[in-house]
Amino acid sequence: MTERDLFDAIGRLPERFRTEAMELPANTADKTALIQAGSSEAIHSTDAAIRQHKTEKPFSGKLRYLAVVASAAACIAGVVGIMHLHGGSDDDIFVAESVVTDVREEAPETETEPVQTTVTSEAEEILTVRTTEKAVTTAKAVTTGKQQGSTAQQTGTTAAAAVQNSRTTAQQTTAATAQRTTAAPRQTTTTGTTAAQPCTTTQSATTTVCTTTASRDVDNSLYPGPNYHIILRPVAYFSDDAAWLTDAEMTTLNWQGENEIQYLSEILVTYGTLVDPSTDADIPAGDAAYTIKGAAGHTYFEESDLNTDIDLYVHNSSDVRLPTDKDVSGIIGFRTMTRNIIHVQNHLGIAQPDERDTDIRPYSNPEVTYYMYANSNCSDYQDDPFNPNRAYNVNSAYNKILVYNKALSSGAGLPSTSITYNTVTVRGNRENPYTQSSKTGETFYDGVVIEYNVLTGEMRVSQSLQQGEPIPQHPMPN
Amino acid sequence: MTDTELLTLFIRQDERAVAETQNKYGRICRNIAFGLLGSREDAEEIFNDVLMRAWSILPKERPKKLLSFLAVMTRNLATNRLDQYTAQRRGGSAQNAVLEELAECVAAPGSVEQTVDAKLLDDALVRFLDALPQEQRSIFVLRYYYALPLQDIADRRQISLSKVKATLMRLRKKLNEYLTEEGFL
Repeated sequence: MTERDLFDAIGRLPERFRTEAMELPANTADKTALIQAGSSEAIHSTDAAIRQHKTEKPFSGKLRYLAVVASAAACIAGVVGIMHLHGGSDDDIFVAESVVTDVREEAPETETEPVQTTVTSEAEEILTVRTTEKAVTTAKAVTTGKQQGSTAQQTGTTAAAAVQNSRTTAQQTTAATAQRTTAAPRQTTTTGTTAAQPCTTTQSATTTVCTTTASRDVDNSLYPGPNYHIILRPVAYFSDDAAWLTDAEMTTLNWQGENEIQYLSEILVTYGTLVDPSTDADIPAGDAAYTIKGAAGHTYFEESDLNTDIDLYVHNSSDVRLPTDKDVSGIIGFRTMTRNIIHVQNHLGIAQPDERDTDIRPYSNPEVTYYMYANSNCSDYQDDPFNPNRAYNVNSAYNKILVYNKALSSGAGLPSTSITYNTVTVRGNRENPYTQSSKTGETFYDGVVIEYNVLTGEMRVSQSLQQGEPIPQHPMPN
Repeated sequence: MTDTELLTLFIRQDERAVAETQNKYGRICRNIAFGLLGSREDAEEIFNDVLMRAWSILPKERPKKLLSFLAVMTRNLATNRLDQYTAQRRGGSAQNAVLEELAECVAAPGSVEQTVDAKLLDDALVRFLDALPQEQRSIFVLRYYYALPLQDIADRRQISLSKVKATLMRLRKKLNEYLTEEGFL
């Protein structure tokens, strides 16, 4: 067997050994975790350690300095003693030092043994050396402890500052939310109040199907569309995984009664002005009213609903049915822990930016379909760049959005007949997918590229493409 | 930043994941690579490779221990690099090609006998380590699996450098005796 065989065998060690070795000793790991968390406990714990060291150390302050001096003096005395004992031979001194050094390397815990055997007659002096060395060592330990305590305190202070900052941000956010609410008061409609039914857990942890139903309110003011449509874009959030449902999964979802949307984190449900379904040819006869059932009292599910078990389905007063692809005018947003959504609507509030919505019906005004393009920084967007329900790159300052009228466009070109409009609204940003940013007061044409800062909500016109110009490939250049 | 937060950044494909990983685990990973390769430049390259792989793998896989995951990946990449260097020192690609052709004439490297021997050695090694106290076992693995420098081991285990040296010396002696008893030597 060669050393390489042994090395390879060690390389095949089971994972438990590798993991165990990488774990810090219990005390250190606990302390590190506490310090990382900025916990005051860490500070107190470290302070306690310092205090403990203080009580153990034999010298402090000036005495520590004297101990160091005494140590040096005793060392010199010891060496002189050894020289005296061994007749002043340089070789003998060298040998004695070598012995001590070797023993220290191999067995530091028994370092007094060679001293006793080598220089028995000088035991008292050597003992003095050892004692003062220990005193110095203890002093160093105390100093280290103090440094650690200082680090912990700094960490705690930083954490406290971070908490303060987050509070300030929260306050600002709250103020902004309040202002927004004031600017666009909601018209609340509450329907379908139903008592919650108990959850039925079908699989542990990852698959829980619930039949919780509750009332809802709807913000109609934001979406004054002439029709009443709903489109659902479910996303599943599992306890240990976050995944968007694929189109195939979408089509096979059973929306009727036993939905399997597990751990849905947030849902935004909005739609246009309710109309009498009987006047809407696209809504099957008998669909007198629709209700979307979610968490109690929420238009959308809040953070507090995270990991609650939710059934989401659309039904009318007497039936439950799968929302069809005709139900295109509503906007329903989903957000998971790691994804975000940006919705774009036109000034009518009717556009659902999804290329699958090929049957957008005419409204009283020409509809405009908005498409969003990610710039090349948008890693989250690369897997499905045309699907606006995918997350934008929330860490990129600006994302580009190309706005054009899909219905009027021909092939890969922008519409030759331009539609003008004066408001572009983008919903959602990193912190809150339900915030709304609008750009108004300008006349936009098809082909305008809006840059949207997902961090701040700021919008600006980046460029305008010409009528009939080919639609640029995505991702758009930065 | 906790490992969970780091993993979340990787899952989001947030570029901060790279910087945070460098801050938190860069030193130990570089030291592992350096311990095997003996070159700071190589260690840096290996760590960059580790980050790149972590970037592509972590959104799909969720390791239980992030540090262990990164350290093992570092070790494997560094070992591969070491093998490449060793092969080059043997005579470069021309000699490798000759050796590969000659290898067809002899038993395959993964022959039954070799495989059995390797398995027996693996089992013996596991028994040996299982019989050790936890601290000694950790020191052994940190040194001979992760190839960490002695001072790093001392820092990590919160013990003195001399104790690490003494422990390793005793372990080597003990392992030698054990392997002799088991008939491997």
